[in-house]
Amino acid sequence: MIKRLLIFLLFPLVIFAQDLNERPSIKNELIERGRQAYFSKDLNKLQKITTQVDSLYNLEGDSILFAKYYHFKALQHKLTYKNDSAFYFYHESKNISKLINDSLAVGRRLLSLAVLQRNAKDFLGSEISSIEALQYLEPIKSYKYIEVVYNNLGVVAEELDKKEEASIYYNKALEINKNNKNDREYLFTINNLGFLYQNQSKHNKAKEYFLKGLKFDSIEQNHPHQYSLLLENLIFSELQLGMKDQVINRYNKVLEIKKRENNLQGVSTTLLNIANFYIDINKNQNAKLYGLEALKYAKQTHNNKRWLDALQLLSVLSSGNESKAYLEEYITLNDSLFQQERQLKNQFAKIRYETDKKEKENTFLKSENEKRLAEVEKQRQQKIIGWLVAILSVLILLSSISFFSFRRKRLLYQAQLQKIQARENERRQIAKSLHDEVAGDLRLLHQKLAQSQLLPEAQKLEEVKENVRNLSHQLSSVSFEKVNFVDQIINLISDYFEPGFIIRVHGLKEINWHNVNQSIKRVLYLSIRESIQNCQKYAEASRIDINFKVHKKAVHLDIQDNGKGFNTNNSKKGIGLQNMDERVGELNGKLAISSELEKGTQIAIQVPLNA
Amino acid sequence: MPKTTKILLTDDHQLIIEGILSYLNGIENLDIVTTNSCDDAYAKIKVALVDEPFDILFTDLSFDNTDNSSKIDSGENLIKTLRSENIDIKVGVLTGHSETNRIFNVIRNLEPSAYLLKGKCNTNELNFAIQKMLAGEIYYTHEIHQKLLKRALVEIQMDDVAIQILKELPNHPKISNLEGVVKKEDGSFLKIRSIENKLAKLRTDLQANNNTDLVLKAKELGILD
Repeated sequence: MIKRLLIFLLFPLVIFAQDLNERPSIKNELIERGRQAYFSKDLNKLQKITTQVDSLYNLEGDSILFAKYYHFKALQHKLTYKNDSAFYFYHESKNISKLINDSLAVGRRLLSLAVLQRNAKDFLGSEISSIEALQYLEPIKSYKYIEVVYNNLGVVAEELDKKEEASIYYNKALEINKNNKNDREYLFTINNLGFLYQNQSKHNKAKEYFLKGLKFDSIEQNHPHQYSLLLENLIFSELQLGMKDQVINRYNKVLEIKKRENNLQGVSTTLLNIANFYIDINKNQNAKLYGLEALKYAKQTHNNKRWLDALQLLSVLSSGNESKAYLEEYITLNDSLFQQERQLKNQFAKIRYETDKKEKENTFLKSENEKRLAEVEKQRQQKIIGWLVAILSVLILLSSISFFSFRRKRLLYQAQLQKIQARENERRQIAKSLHDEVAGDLRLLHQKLAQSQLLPEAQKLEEVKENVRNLSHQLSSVSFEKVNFVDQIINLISDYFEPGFIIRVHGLKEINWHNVNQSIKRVLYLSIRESIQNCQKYAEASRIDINFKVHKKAVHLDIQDNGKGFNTNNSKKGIGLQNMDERVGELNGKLAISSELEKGTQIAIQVPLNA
Repeated sequence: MPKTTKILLTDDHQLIIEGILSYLNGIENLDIVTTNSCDDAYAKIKVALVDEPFDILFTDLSFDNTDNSSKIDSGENLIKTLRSENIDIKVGVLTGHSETNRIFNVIRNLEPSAYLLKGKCNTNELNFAIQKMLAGEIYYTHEIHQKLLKRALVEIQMDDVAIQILKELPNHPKISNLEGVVKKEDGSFLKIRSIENKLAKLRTDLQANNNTDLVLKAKELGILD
């Protein structure tokens, strides 16, 4: 039965445990699918997954999921080119990861922020974010992302016109790549290095890098994106070196790859390159066509730089009002873009500032909260102490009440004992005066009668005198000073013991009578004497069993005879028994008599040792 | 010529003194002095110490004629006083008290040389007792012996080991077989030496001649069921 119950109890536990074991895999699966949705630029799917992450977070309260939720939010905005919102959510995600000490996530989010800032031309901000990312990534030796950070730092340095620094960063990235074997990142770095030299018009050097990248094993199949970039840059550098072989063909190939790879931002760049080439070979008509196409793609993909480039190119290629219109559009756009960039930069700065402020506020609130919690805790403790004090005082009250009642009982008992003692003294006094005075007077009388030859009278008087003596004897108190209790009981029994009247005593010597109060011993002694006398006189018993026992701080005395017994309902208690009952009662004891006709009598006496 | 024995007889009843004197008169070579009070007895003994001290004191135990002026109010106290002063005198108790407690107390604590009951003694017994006392021996009258025997019985029947031995004795022809049968209070077995000591004491207490007699007496006296 119990086993079955146990199984029933365990069953839900097992299910629950399984559930818990499955949760992490659900989490990882969700995150992975979110990543893929972003890479395949599937906004709908990403939004759905983001909602799922949120609900899972609400279910589990796992902060990693919360950070991930913000991360995916950022990715959503990135897909819709809302960079300021993306920046905000990256920032938030980063802060959450910081709180839970997830260094890798912090580093990665900082890297994303750096890239966003770089794209918004906030190069200084990007540099700062990158350096901060390194601080998180380097301790955990996450070389994969360290390499990317260095690459970004290279690009930023290049933009800030720090060519030397850029070169150092790129080489550092390459060095790290030797261990990483991240082909894609390697190709990026090579391309960036080439691009660095290209911008410095060191086209031979640039060409070497581009060719090095292009010679990478099966690059066209495995890394078409990198391939297209490298090829495009190679064509550009060769053009600058005066090599015009198969320019259009190769540019078309680049275009084809970019379109296939959905790299629409890049398409506008290539289109502009082609347009520029046509201008070089004086085919302005073709150039304008490509320029228009480039403008279209640039607008579509928010590629502001190419947008401006396209407008500038078109204004050069067209004439009159058309050219003027392009120029005006260029100027307006340039202004607005400038404004936008500045705004974005400000926005970024604002977000950073506000989140930092919030953080400060949070820490303030946190400390406030802690204070409040401490206050609550203090109050709780005070409450507990209050309760304890209350309980303690109740306990003290109760114990003092019981102590005083105990004391009172003791005092009463002591008074009782004193009363008994006083009565015993009185008895002794009476016995003594009976003996000394009454018997003495009787003796004198007796002597006189004897001298007067009144012998029968003298005989009578002798009897009276004997009775007085006996009375005096009965009244005189029993004392255990001369002979101790055990011996005295033995002596008492010896006086009555006969081969036909057997008295057996049990347990007498097992009790330490020394510590027992005189009055108790006296009561026991007198009770035994009274019982034996009763047995001898009335019960016609041939055997008495006397049992002594100390149990639960009380002396128990059982006296059992095998006499004829009596009906306890009918018979009035004899004066002897009544006296016994009274004496026992005075000591807070109990006396119980049970008897049946022909079956003997049992007297059970129980006296507390220290009531 | 035999030496005269000096006796002091103390009793509160003149009648008793007269009666006992009549018994003692049948015995030769006695010098008897009588008195009715303990204080006087003490004074007489002390005075006699100077030239002819008393050989024997016969005294009652309770004295009805005492009052507040009495210094010594009982035979017991008289004996105690003599003992405490190391006075060399043989003491015989000659009394009517035969309650075991009184006998026990007097014999245990005062060790008198004789204990006689005045209602039951006669010239012969008194003479025998005096001879015994003078010889440094002890004489208790038959009834006192009976009382002491009964007391011994009561004590024996409270003694679990003694009861065991008495019960097992008929089952074992050899005493040595009792070893490993009789248990002490703590559960361990009694050694043969202890058993033999106990048997010897029991034989003395019950005045038995041998072990068979002992068992018979024990049954007869009601110790064994």
